[in-house]
Amino acid sequence: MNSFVEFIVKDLLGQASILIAFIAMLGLILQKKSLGKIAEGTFKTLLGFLIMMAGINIIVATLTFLNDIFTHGFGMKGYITDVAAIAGLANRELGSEVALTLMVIFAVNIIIARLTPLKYIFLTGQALLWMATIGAVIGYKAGLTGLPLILTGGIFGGAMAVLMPALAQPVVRRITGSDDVALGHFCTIGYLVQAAVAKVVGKGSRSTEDLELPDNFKFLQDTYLAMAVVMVPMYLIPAVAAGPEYISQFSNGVNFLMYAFMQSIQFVAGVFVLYSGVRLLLNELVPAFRGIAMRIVPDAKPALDCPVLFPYAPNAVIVGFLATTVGSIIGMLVFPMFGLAMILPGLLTNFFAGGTAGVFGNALGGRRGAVIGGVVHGLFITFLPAILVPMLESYGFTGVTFSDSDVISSGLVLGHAFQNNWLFVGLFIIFVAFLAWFVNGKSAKPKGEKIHESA
Amino acid sequence: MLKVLCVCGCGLGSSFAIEMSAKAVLKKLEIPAKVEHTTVSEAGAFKSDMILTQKVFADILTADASEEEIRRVVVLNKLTDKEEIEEKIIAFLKLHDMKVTDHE
Repeated sequence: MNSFVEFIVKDLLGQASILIAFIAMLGLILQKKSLGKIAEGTFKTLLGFLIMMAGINIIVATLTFLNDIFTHGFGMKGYITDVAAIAGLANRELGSEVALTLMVIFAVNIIIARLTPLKYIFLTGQALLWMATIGAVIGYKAGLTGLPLILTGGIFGGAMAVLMPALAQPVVRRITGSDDVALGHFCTIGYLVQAAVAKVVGKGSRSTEDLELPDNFKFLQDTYLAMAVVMVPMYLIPAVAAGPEYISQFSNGVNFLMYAFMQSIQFVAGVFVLYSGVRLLLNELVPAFRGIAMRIVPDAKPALDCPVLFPYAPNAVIVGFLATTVGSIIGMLVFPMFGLAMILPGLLTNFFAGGTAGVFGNALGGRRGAVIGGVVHGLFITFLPAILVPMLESYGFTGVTFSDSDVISSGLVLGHAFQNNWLFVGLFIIFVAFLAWFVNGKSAKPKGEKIHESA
Repeated sequence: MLKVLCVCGCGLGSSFAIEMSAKAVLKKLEIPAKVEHTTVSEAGAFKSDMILTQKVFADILTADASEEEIRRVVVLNKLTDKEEIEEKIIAFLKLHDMKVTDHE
C-alpha cells in the first residue's frame, strides 16, 4: 500500500509533465468537454511540456558553448536575457512547483478580481508561466518547500496579475480610447519608466504616426529572424576573440566560425522548439482559466498580450524597438564599468517590450517621448537583469537571466524580502508607486501594500 | 470545414487571443471550422483557408505572396473585438463565395 501511495505522489504527481496534464484535464472536465476532447487536450498538454524540455536542452547546450567562448575570449561573462530560456531551465528542477504555483496564480487572480474593483483577468499565459517560475525559484532557494512555497509565489503572482494591468490602464485607455481591454504583459514597470520620461521630455512633440517609416524594418517582426540577426554576431564576435584553437575542442574539426554560426542558429532553433512546447502547454489551460474566470467575474476586463496595442501606433512600435535596442546596447557596454554584469541585449524583449513601451512613450510624449524614453527604457531593462544576476548566480544559474521587467522586479522584491532586506523592498515599491502616480496623474494610488503582505 | 489560422509574432499570446474570439464567433455563426494559432514564421507552412492577424504581421505574410495567398489574409484592428471578427469573417466568406459545409 505504501509503495502505491509513493508511486502516486512521487512518480505520478512528482512528474511536472504529468501534473500539468492532470491540471489541463481538470480544466477540460470542468468545461464539460467530450471524452475525446478531454483525452486530446490532456495528451497535448503532456506533449507540450516534453517539447518545452527538449527545446531547453538545445538552448542550454548552445548557451554553455557561448559562455565558454565569451569567458575565454573577453575574460568576462555575458548574460543572455531570455525569460523562456531561464524558465525552462528552472522547470527542469522545479517543474511541479511551477505548475502548481501557476494554478494558485489563476485562482488568486480570479479572487482579487471578484472581490476588489480591479477587475482584471490576466490572459497572457506564457507571462503567467514566467511569473510562476520566478516565484517558485526564489521561494525554493530561500528554503521554502511544499505548500508555503506554492502559496507564496502564487499569491504574489496573482496580485501582480491584477496590479500590473491596473497600473498600465490609464495609459492604455488613452492609447485605445476605450476601457474594454487591458494590457497583460509583465513588462509594465518598464513601460511606466518610458511613459514617465516621455511625459518629462515630450511636451509638444508630434506623434510618431505622422512619420513615414521605411519598409525595411518589417522583416524584423518575424521573431525568429530578428533573433537570428542578433544571435549570429553574438556568437561570431566572441568566437573570433576566443580563437580557432580554443573552439577546436568543441567543433570536431569544423571551421571555428562555421561552428559558432551553427551554434547561434541552434540557439534560435531551441527557442522555436521551446515556444512550440509552451503553445501546446497553454492551449487547454488558458481557455479553461478564461471560461471559469468570466463566469465568476462577469464584468471582468481581459488583460491581453502586448501586441494588442500595436495597431494603435505601428510607427511607435518600430521607433520604440530601435530606441530600446540602442539603450540596451549602451547599457551592455556601460554597466559592466560599474561592476554590474554584462547583459547581452535580448531582441525578443526589445521588440515586444520596446515596441509597446514606444506606444506608451508616444501616447504621453510624441516622437521625443518614443525616442528618448525608448533609450531610457533600454537602459532600464538592461539594468534590472544586471542587478538580479548576483541573486541568480548564488542560486546556480549562469549565463542566462530573466528579461521581463515585472518578472525581474518580483524576483528582486521577493528575494530581498526573504533576506529581510526590507529597505530595498520598500524603496522599490515606493519607486513603482511614484512612477505610476507620476504617469497616471491624479488617478488613484496603486495598492503597493498588497505586494508587501504576501512577500 | 473552414480552416482558420490566427497569427502573431511568437504564436503565444495575441494569436491565441484572436483564436479564442474567432472560435466563439464561428460557433455563433454555426460555421464548422478548425481554428489554430501559430507564429508568423510558421504560418506559410500551414494550409488554411483564412488567416486572421494584425497589420504588422499581415505585412510580412503578404510580402512577395501570390494573389491567392494575399486574399486569404484578413487584417484585424482589434484583437478580440468579436463584432469586428464576425463582420470580417462574413465579408470574407461572401467574397470568396465559400461553401463552408462540404469541405472535407
